[in-house]
Amino acid sequence: MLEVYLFLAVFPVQILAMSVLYPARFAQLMRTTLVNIPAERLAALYPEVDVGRAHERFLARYRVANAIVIVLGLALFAWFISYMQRPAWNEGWVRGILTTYFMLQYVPIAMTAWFMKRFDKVHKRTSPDTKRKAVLQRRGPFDFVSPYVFLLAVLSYLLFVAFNFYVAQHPFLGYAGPFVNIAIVTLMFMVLGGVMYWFLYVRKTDPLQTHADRMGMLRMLMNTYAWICILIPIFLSLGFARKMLDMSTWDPFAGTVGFLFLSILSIRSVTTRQRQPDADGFGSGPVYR
Amino acid sequence: MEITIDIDNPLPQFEQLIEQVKAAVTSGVLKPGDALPSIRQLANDLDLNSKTVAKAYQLLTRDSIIETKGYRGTYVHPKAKSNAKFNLQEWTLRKLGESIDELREAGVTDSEIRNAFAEAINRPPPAK
Repeated sequence: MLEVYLFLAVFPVQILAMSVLYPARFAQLMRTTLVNIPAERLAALYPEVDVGRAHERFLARYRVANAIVIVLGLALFAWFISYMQRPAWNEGWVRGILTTYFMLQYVPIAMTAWFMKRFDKVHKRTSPDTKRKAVLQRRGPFDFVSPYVFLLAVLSYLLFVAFNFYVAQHPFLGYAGPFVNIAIVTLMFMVLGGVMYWFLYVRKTDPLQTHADRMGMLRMLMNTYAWICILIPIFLSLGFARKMLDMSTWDPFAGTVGFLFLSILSIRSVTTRQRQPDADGFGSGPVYR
Repeated sequence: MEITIDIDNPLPQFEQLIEQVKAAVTSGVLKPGDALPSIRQLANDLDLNSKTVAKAYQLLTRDSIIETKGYRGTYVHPKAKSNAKFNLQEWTLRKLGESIDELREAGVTDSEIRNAFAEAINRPPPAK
């Protein structure tokens, strides 16, 4: 029963993190972004539109979307309290509902990201600036991710490989074999590595983004993905261990803790992305003409 | 060091890039052995076609301002500072001028020089 109480304690925290704290930080980031865009530029881009009011209206809708997600989460929480008191509650069911709910928590964010991408596209197309600037400094993954974090990711992967060969000696029902699991995790690492490489060299979409902003954003994204690389083998290994020890009832709690970690990484990503003036030495050097 | 490309400037973009790298080398902002960004990184950061940056890098390599060390990337050449001061365009003009003066003194007409120049420049380079 302990696992049920732990799950019931962690689930509201996860709702609070992903549907209250994250949207609040995200709205703050959007406000800061808008403040950095010159008013005359916005007036030229959107004539006859009160941009400030339109922005507030958008934020109000965003808040409503998140409120719906919170209410749904609390309803689920109430249902879990009654359902999980029963002796024959099904952890597979609970796990499925939790995963669906976590994906639902991302819907308002996905909508906002789509809106911002469209905004940047219009903004870039109509940019009056004829000068393009870049810093003559080579970027590499280790400029953003500490070698220790990289080593942790490698260690996490190697321990996962070793643990899989151990599990193969004592397989449980539904275990796909060590090579299939290693191949899946290797593929995940390759995809995440590819995304990190893409982030490193991608063209900037926001024409008003300063070099310091961009480097800060890159640092945050690269570290978030590096930590996801570390966490994937750990959570999969813990899942195998639970199966081996016949502790599947702990799955909802472990899954929610995993989602909570992802929520914390998401909150970190919008907290460290606050816009700053380009005064950290990058991009403030002399311009050679 | 920040680099700026003005898309309204009549000077070609690759030349703007070359001029700014040379200026940075001459003023000492870029020192021998300093790492330069990859072609892809610089092209994406400046929102230029990668062929434009590749052309600038190719010409800077030819002039020994920068050097490519295989997969390790591109670096400022050890003799970049002295090489950056050397004006290849000016040197070519001087050499051609000297040859034309010599040919005129020998009685060759300008149209004959033009025809000979066109024929000579279209000739394949000698095998090394």
